[in-house]
Amino acid sequence: MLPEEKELLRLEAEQAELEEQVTSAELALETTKTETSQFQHRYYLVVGRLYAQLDELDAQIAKARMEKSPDDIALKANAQTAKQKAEKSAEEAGLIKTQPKPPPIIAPELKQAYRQAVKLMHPDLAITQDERHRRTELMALVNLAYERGDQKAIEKLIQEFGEDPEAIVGEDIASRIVKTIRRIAQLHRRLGELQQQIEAQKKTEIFQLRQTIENAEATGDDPLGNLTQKLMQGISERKIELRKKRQQ
Amino acid sequence: MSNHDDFPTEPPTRDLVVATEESNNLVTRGLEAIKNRAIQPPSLAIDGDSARLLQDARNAYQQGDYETQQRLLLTLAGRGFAEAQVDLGFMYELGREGVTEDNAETVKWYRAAARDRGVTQYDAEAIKWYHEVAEQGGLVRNVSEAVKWYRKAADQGNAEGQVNLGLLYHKGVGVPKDNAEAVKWCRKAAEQGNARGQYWLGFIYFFGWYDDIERNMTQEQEDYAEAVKWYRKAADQGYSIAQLCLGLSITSGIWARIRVQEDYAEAIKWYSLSAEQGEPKAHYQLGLLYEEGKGVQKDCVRAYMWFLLSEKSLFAESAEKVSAQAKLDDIKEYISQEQIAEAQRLAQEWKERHAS
Repeated sequence: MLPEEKELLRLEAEQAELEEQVTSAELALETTKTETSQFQHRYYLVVGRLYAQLDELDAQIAKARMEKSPDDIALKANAQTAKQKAEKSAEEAGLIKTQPKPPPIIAPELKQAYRQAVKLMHPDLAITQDERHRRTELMALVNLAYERGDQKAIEKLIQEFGEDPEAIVGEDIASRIVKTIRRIAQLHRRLGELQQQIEAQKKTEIFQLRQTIENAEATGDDPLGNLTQKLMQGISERKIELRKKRQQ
Repeated sequence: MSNHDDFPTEPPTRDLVVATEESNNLVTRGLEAIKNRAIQPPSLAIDGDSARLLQDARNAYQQGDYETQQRLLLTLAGRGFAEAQVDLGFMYELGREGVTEDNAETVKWYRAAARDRGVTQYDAEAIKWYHEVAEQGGLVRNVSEAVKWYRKAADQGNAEGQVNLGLLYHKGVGVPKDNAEAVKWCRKAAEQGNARGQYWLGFIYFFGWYDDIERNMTQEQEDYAEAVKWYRKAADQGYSIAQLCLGLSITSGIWARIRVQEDYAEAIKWYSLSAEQGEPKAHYQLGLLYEEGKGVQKDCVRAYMWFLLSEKSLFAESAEKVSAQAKLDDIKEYISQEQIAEAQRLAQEWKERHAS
């Protein structure tokens, strides 16, 4: 075997190893995003809605107070602040309805299909700019399908991708070495990027909330249930207060 | 994907709206509510059923039926019952697995001793002893489980849970060693008036910072003053180890260092109170004071009596035991046979008085 051939084999092994790592990292990132999005959906539907209701009642109470003493500037300011807060909360709680409902669970088959798709069409395996563009667009579709839990769509994309257009061309060893080195560099860069993005995901509040709650749930606690109960209690207290205010 | 020199134009990729700054309002509120543990199950009042089950669990423990104990505690702790959470944590801290017919007695003895004498677990010799017995008994400890349950109880404001959690932080067992955290939790319990919490808070101030040289240099006086303050609170509540430690803080010269007049009569008072409760180290200290005539009329017979009592009940490998034996030999040299007999009789009487 020629020294160049040996070098090519070594590089291809390195590339394969990196492809594996990048695939796993892509999967981890997409899974974190999807699971967090599932959690977010659940959170907003239950807790977010109650917070919005609570804020709305607070705003009404503040308004009722203000109407009792129209000359009091402080009460007026309070009512204004409460109104703004209620509007903001209502808007935020309403946002979730506009988003597609994420799949309830991520099936292992779905993960498998996603892995297969990433290995086949990852943009960082492309050498030419055109191919890279094509792959980037396809990957976005794959990610979207994964987030929706749409395994069929991923399988269809794999079929449509077909043979790797860059792979078929017969080439001399030197140019294959150059391409492999280039792919390795691209994969390295992407891996670093993915790790950063995963870290960034973990720093978000929604992720921390999810983690806190899931940890507690694993030990038999139900912090979300407790919070819900507490909020509902707050809501009924406010309703009573509001009724009193209006009767006065 | 990302920018790269070779590929300046990238089609946009789609990200899920997972978290943007503006949309975080309601998430922040939930996170804070849950993290601050402001949210507790609405009713923590212990219903009759739970209280009865906890008693059942404790009875099962007394009878050596650790399976039942564990099962009941898990149920109760899961319901958020703080006392059961502390019991469960303690069970995990001491070890729970491998109880067989062969070792059941050893285990029972070890656990009883650990609970009774848990306060002195800091004595190096006591720790060693516990570990040996636990190993002989084939016990497997699960400290991270213990941490988990103590924390739950502590977060509910349960003082015992707070102290136990604080101590694990102090020892660095199951959690990274962190004296600031240890002080935080013990202080919570101490401020609730929990004597054990007060004692341990004092203890940590007294000894806790020894591995932190900088703190030792600059804050020694304040730490000692703080230690004495909390020892006294616990001692006033009749906590025997705290009474011993308060006595020690006088006779070891700490009061002088924090510019408080040394008062051996005061030391005698606290040692005596502690000795009455059967604390062997207090017996030993009384022996020393009687022998030297500090704070009390010099009395070799009394000294002999206290050394005799302490020598019998101290841990085999403790330093005090060795020196109590040496003291007994010393005193024998210069008192008469009758005096020795008198001291032995007094010791016997003392024991009988405190037998019940």
